[in-house]
Amino acid sequence: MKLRAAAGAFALALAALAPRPGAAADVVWTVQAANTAGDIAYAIAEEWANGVEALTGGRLGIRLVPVGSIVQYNETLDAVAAGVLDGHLTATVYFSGKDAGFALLGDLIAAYEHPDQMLAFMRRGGGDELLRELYAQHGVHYIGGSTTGKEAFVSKIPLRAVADFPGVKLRAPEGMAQDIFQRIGAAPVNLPSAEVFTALERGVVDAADWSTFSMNHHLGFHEVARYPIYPGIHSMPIIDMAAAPARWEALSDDLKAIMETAVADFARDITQRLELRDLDDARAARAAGVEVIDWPAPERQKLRDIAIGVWREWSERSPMAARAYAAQTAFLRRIGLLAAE
Amino acid sequence: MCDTVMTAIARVLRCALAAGALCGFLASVAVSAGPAAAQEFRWKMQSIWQAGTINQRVFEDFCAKVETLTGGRLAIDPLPVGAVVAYNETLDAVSVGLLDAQHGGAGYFAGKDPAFAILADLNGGYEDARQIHMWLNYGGGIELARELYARYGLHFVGGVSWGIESIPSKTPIRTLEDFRGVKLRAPEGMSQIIFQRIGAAPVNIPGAEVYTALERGVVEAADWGTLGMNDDLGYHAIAPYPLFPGFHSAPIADVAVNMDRWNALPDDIALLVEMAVRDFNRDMMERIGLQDAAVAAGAADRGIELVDWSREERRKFREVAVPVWAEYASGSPMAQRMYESHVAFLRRLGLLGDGE
Repeated sequence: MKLRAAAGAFALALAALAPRPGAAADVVWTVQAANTAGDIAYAIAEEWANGVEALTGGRLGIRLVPVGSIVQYNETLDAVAAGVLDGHLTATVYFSGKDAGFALLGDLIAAYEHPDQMLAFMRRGGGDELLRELYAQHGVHYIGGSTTGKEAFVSKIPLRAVADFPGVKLRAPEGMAQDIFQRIGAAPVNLPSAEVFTALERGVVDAADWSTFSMNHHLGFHEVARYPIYPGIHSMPIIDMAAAPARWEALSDDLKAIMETAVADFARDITQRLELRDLDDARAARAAGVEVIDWPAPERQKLRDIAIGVWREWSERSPMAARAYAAQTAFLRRIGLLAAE
Repeated sequence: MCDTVMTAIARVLRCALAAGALCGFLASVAVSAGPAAAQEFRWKMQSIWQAGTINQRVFEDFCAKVETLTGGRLAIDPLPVGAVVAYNETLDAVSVGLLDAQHGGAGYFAGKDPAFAILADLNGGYEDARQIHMWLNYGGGIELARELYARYGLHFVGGVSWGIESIPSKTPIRTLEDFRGVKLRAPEGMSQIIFQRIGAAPVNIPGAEVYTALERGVVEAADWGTLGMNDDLGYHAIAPYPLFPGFHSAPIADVAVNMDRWNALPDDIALLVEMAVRDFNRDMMERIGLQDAAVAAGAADRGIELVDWSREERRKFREVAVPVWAEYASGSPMAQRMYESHVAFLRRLGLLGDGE
């Protein structure tokens, strides 16, 4: 009996020393994602979340749950602030209704050409600091940003230049993208996600703002819309990791540093893996006779120079939006995507 | 002070072994306390960078970050180039444990196996340094690198890039054809052979003499560093036609650790070091990339013309480079495997082959 108790204690001691894969961590956060469980972006995020326990030696674990599991996709900010969720890993731009700053930081349409440029803005151009301040105003701690990458554009007709857009009926959700498409003469309409495929098939719309090339490809969009624009020209949403302030403050300094670095590592992992999938699927699409349209740099610049007018309008909607606009345009100038003033 | 704490922990651990389960339990509490835990490992790591350079500062930040991430359990002393051994001796020094780890130039060890050259800098291969890390992480590169380094008693943790280098030139070189007859400085190795193949006249010139050679017109162009590094050295004042974005060279430096030291790490620290090295690469590419961007943004105002090659011209250079890679590859079975892995990945990226 005594011996067994001693052995038990020793086993406990060993358990405390050893990593415990699969076991519950000391602290477990429930974090709601932006994607459904079957989505590749969800699978990559879940792999990352499951790895946090090993990184922290079992001190912190993340239980990722798909979009809508606990609250609606656009309710996670309130849910995290209220402590209903411990964190979210979701699109910053979903909260644009609370403050236009979320739109200017979360998806500056037609701004960056590559995820690394946008993530460099977050880390070295003031984006992280602004978004942290903005989230704090809403009772949430922003840890860091990632993205699923530059979205491709779905189209039934060849759109090779800004000048090809006038009159084109296209699906775009409300927001900055819709404003920019309007500005270049297109006729954007709101359509629920579930109806986009049918609307394209029946010719209700000619084009659609949807997702990355690979995502669009696997949803069958290129079977009905054979002129995708890739690499994309419009949207690249920030997917941010944010936590309830009480949960964040309960972490030791090393755990905070691990989480911040792990989010940056997640951004690298997901953007590179999705970029490879995009390349693979673009090759497959070309082989299947799809014409993949790649805009030349001057045409992309033309769209950016028009978009800046829309960004400026949005910047007037809140003080944080104005600051985000100033920081974004300064960084875009610094990396040569906007001309010097 | 660290030594004292270590001694205290050692005492508790001895106690655990001698007195059994209860003390063992106490020891486990002491060790699993995480942030409060004392330093358990200390490494000396020598880099390829001069003290005071931006690259060395990024390296120092990486070392500090490892200490933060591990709650002080692993400390790394960041040593500049030459601190303990010469730049090309670190592999041997780490192998025998004279150094614990290196942030070394993989290409310096090509004499041991040409695979190091192919790993370090596949000249003309990639268009963006990010793609090299996609090869390492998702194209089988890191597995091959680990196998190669393990033969010398080192664990290859990961690679660190600083972007694609730019060639400053006194005359505009806009196409592959324009290289014909151009005298340029290029160090011995793969890139020198490629420059020869395209009809240029590469010459060996020590680093310290590059400026004077350009100034006096002994050479018209030079293979040196990134746009920002070249600008720091004043090259653009005398050679105002840099090829940018570059295409000929995108070297990686390694982070590699003595195998016994590596195997001594608990799993969580090993995972944290791997993550920290990927973050080190991100930080280096971002900081050097922004330095390049700043020079590029101000170039026109200073009368510097950035010569940006078309995709087709870049591809021509790459196609001349492939047989040179193949010649290196024939030097060892590992070099051959690394070459084949690179070529397969370049095809996947659409940089070689018909893109189908």
